[in-house]
Amino acid sequence: MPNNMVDARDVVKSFRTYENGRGFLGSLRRKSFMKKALKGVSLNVKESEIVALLGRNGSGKSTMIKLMSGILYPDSGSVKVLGMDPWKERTELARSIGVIFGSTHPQLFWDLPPLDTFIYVREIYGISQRDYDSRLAYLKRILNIDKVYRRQTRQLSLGERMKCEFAASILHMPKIVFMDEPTVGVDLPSRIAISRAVLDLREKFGTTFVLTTHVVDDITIADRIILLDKGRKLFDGKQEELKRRFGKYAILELYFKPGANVDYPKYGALGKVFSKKDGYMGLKVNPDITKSEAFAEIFKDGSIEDYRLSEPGLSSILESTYRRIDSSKRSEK
Amino acid sequence: MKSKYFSVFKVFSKNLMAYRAEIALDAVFYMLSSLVMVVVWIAVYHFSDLTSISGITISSMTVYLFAIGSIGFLSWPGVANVLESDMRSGEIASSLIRPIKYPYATFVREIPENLIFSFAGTLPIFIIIYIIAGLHLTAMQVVMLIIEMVLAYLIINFIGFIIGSLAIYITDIYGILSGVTWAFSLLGGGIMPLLLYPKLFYGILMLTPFPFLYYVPGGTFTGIIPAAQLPGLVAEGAIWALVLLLIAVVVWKRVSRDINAVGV
Repeated sequence: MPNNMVDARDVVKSFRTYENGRGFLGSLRRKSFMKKALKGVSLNVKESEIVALLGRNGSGKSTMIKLMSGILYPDSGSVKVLGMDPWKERTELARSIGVIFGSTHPQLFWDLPPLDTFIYVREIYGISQRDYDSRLAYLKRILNIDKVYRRQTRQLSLGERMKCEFAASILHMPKIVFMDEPTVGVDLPSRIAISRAVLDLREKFGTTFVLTTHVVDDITIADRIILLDKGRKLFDGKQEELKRRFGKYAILELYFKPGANVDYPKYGALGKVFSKKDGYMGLKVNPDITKSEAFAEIFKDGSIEDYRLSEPGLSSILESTYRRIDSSKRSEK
Repeated sequence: MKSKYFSVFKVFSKNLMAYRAEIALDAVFYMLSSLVMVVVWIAVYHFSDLTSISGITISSMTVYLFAIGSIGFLSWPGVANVLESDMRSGEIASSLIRPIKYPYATFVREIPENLIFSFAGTLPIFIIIYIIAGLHLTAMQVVMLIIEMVLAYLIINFIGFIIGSLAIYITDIYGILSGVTWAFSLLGGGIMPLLLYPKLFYGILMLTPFPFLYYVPGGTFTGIIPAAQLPGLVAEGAIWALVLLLIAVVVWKRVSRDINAVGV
């Protein structure tokens, strides 16, 4: 068993894509061009790790998942999953990996109950009846799908469907699972159930997970974050490191007394204002602000009723990271 | 272990049953097109005052048209539709993550629908025509007919697979497929027996795979094609099926690298 479950080096992948011109005539004449989805990405994933691949739409996350699961063929570079070339050894590798594509590419048969997909999975993976029964019992319990898996898939809610999709991808007990935006549009209880199942599978069976997501709650279960932007890797490390690197600020929220004559510019000088309403101001400030003279100064005129200083959340950090990327690109131009 | 592809067959059969009423309606309305062709040919015979054209009488023509109508249930390149739909929606990704070979699975997925049409459409119509028209087939002709039907199915779907693979590049192949299907009908005897074409054109067509789609099985069933010619025709059809299979394999090897599985 290789310790590196995934080893991708300098992966490049381009697609031909099309762009329509303006208006009706523009729709008749479309320009084709090659879009580089990945521009030399290297990454690795260790056994039993949970890695979150993050990035904005078009950053190359899904392309990376498809390359790792053998659906796509890289233009250059190499991808190894469990020591195998995913594209060349796709059917063999498929026995050891699980893939979930969110709601975009469902695996469940739309007109049948999920149970039929489970049976189909049992047969094509050659799972013994005994293993199948115990695994299904486990998945029914942990995902809470006992009441839904016999109903026609088309009649299930998105959350119920996604939990069943997850079960269908796990039944053969893969060593590594790729999850491409598995919780988009999924309700909170279902999201929690899926996250809980991911952690439980890792703990009990040592399963490795690589997931892409835009849902911040999903990221919190990840051991490591890999941040992609426009086909390049920007960051690879733990959440704390991401916070240290891109979240060197605190959120200061000031609540003013009703009817107070507030000198907003004075408070705005403490940091970058991100929200201002009647009697409220939110700022991004240096975390050490409370030790500064300026901070003490603002309390002198008695306008402030209360304040709160907090660490930025992961979503704020990601947002400011993306902004920083954009502004540095603009200044480069 | 049971074959993985038998599991594919089973689950797609079950999935198809959700649309059983639609399939029955499809079959009924499909046969209406044969009826239209029969009416047209009755008019041709009536107004030309001919009792036979190239040795084919109106009753042989009627039998032939109903026979090819029922063969037509199987002569639709359904595999091309599966490929197009998978490419367009990106659902090919869901198939490629399983330990099955996508091209095989694509063929197997189409079998349930074809079997239903065979047993609920083609076979009963064949039996009805056989009884009403008072046909007589020898055992050898029946065996040849079954082999020819299988060859017709394979040839049309190997061609369908090659055309369907284009969906990787152009996404919407409906126009191409529609044109090609009409061409198959015209060149394969799906509109009238190929015997009615000029001799040279007939001779050239008989060297192509198209007659195996309609004319050869239809001609075998109605007796338009003499029994002595059948073994040679079956051998030729088998060679065409093999050639098209090889082309399909080469095409798939080339195009599968360009799958993007993005979908709409």
